[in-house]
Amino acid sequence: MRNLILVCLIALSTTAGALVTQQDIEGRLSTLTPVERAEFDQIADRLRCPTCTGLSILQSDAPFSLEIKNSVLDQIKTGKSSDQIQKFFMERYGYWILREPLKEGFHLLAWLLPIGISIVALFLIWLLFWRPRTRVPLQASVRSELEILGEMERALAKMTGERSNG
Amino acid sequence: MRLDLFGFFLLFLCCLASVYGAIASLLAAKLKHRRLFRSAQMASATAMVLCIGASVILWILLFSRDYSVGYVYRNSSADLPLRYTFSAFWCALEGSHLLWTLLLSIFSGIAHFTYSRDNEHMMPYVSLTLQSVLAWMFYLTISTSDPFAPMMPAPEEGLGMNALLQNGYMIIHPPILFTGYTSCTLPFAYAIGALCYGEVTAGWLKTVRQWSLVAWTALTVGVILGGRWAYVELGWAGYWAWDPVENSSLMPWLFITALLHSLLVQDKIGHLKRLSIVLAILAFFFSFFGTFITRSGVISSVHSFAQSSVGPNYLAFLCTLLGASVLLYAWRAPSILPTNTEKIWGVSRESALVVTQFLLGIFAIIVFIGTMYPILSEVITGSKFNVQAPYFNTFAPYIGFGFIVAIVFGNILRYQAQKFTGSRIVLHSAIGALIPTGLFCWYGNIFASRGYAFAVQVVGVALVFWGLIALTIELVAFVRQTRAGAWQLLSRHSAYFGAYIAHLGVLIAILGFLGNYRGMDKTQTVKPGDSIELYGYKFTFHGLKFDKVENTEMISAPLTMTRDGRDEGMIHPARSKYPTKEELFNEIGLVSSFWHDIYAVLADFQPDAKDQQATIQMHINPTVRFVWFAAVLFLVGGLLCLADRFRGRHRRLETQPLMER
Repeated sequence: MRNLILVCLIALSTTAGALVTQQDIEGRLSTLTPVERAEFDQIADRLRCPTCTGLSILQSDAPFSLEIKNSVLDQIKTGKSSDQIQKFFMERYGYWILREPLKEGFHLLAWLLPIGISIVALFLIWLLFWRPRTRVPLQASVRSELEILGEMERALAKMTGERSNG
Repeated sequence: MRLDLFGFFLLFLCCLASVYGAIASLLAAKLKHRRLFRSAQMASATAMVLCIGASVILWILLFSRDYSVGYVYRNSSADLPLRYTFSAFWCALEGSHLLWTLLLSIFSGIAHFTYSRDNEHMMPYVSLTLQSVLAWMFYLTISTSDPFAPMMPAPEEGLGMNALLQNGYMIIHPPILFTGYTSCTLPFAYAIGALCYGEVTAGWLKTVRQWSLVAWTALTVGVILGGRWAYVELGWAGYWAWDPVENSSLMPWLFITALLHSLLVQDKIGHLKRLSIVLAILAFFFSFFGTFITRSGVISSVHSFAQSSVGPNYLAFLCTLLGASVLLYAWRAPSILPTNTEKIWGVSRESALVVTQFLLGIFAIIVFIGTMYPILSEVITGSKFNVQAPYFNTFAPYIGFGFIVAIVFGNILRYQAQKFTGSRIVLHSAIGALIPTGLFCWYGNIFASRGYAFAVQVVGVALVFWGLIALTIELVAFVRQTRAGAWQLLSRHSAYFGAYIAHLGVLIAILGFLGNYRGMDKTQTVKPGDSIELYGYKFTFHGLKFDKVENTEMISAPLTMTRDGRDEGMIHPARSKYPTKEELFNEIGLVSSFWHDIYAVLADFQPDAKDQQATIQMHINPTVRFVWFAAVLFLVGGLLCLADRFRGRHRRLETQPLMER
């Protein structure tokens, strides 16, 4: 379904007028103020290039990326904020246009899990390795010397008794 | 003779031999039967030899252009240069699976005949593991992943090789990387062996250490070579995109590195045996994981041209393996105890090594979450998300800096120390690092960065120089203390120097990675006579050039470079067109120097003589060369560690022979 929408959009953009070219974008970028340029870079770095693997639209000059760049530039000129522009693209293309999980709801898990696991792991390491352990002294034998001597005498008597008998 | 049928038959025999070997070694273990184990050894040797034979046959078929074999038809053509005909062996699914199986059968064969006497009683279990895995791999080569499958009627001409794969990197990157992956199987086999046998012997440590070093060295070189290839071929001016397949080559590397350090603790104080076993299992599991996700199409990536029905097979295999290993571990691990329970973990090297394991493990977890999250998110919430570079780059600096701190303290602290005695070295290194940091930031143009990027770079550079100085002070102290000649020192303490160089490699690599925070680029459309100005350079376009190189047409846009008026030579971004394909491929213009690479891409061009113009993407990529240099350091370090004849060896206790007949 997503792909169908993308294909239709590409078809629409080719029929609706001349395709945006790299030069058009270059030209428009050179008219931005430094603040606007920084804003453009920031937004463009957060949106993925739909037809590339792993690149942002800032890094890519694929036709679809150029279209999106053009749209971003339009919206910057009308004074929209970065969050509003990002929301616009999210609503239009879905979450898939973003390069990283949203920091809200279920997706916060992707961000919190590494931190959570680190804390748990460090705690486990402390528990297993670094916890100060008290040493329990060995229990001293409770049998007294007298008892042991008594046992020895009885054993000796038995042995001498056996010898005299055998 | 129908060579392809014979090749298939050899693979079938290998499968039989491996199944027999697995059964024989299982019986040898249960009945403690020496001759059955001998038989299993022979089965392993047979599988190795026959697999080599089958591979030679595939090469013969490729070189003789026998298009009646489907694989040859799909991956070669009459005009394919000789060296790419050689690499056509592994350029597609069936062949690369055969390469993996070939390497595994060779390593398994070597392992069966080079084991330590201590491990005599464990070897049947090791053999069982190796031969079971091989049996599965061979089964796949004769069923869903058959390289000798016929193509009837035999076509006249082949389809030719994917042009992206026709370059030197394709000849070396897969074999080296696969060597790394397959040698992860041996520590795994030994881990299972230890669990089944119930004890970890001294010989176990020595052998697992050696195989882990082989795996580590090959994986490091293979992964960085992959990055270099992406850098010069794909044209986006980066070398690591956190692509799912790149990530899945990083994860086994992290676990093998953790395994090496865990073995170190085991060697010195007899602890962390069970951790070594767990890490060996995880490294093996993740070495297969990448292959699974590319071949199943579960995640899309740059490597995803290899989708096939093999996917579900691999998934079943991985799940079975993981389940069996977990059960075995839960059942048998309690019998494996630390050698000496009196040891205490103070402020010592062992503690630093445990922290290292933690950092490596957390890094692996982050990479795993990032790779699998798109699937998880789609299954649970129904919305498809991407996880690309920004996610990983959020965590990477902290992990990287953690590594530097762990390396420094790990090398300064002593084993079994109770309190910290290295404050002098830490302080002196910190003071000593101030000037190099300042100079590096000045000449590397770090002061031009702002905000977060600036902070990360300055802290990173400072930590790296602190680490470099601290490690060198430590090294000098060690050399002075042993008071031996240079050659004697090197031969007796090979591993110490190897570790020093490898750690140096980590620091240099991090220095190289920091360059990504201050790269710059500019895209401009130029006509003859126009110039692009970037970072003090002036690149002047004089017109397009058309050449013919071998079987390709080259369209290039040579640019003369000047910097502050001085002539700096030329750079040649270009595009190439192969006769059988419609697309144009990137031949980037690259001029590398110590501080940065100048990277030029010919994005678009208008060839008409009257109205000629070109769209050039100009990139300045700082300190990329440091990363390639780090690869060399890793290689040298790994080899030095392998060459050490003393590490991991303990005086062998004479054990009663338990095998009777």
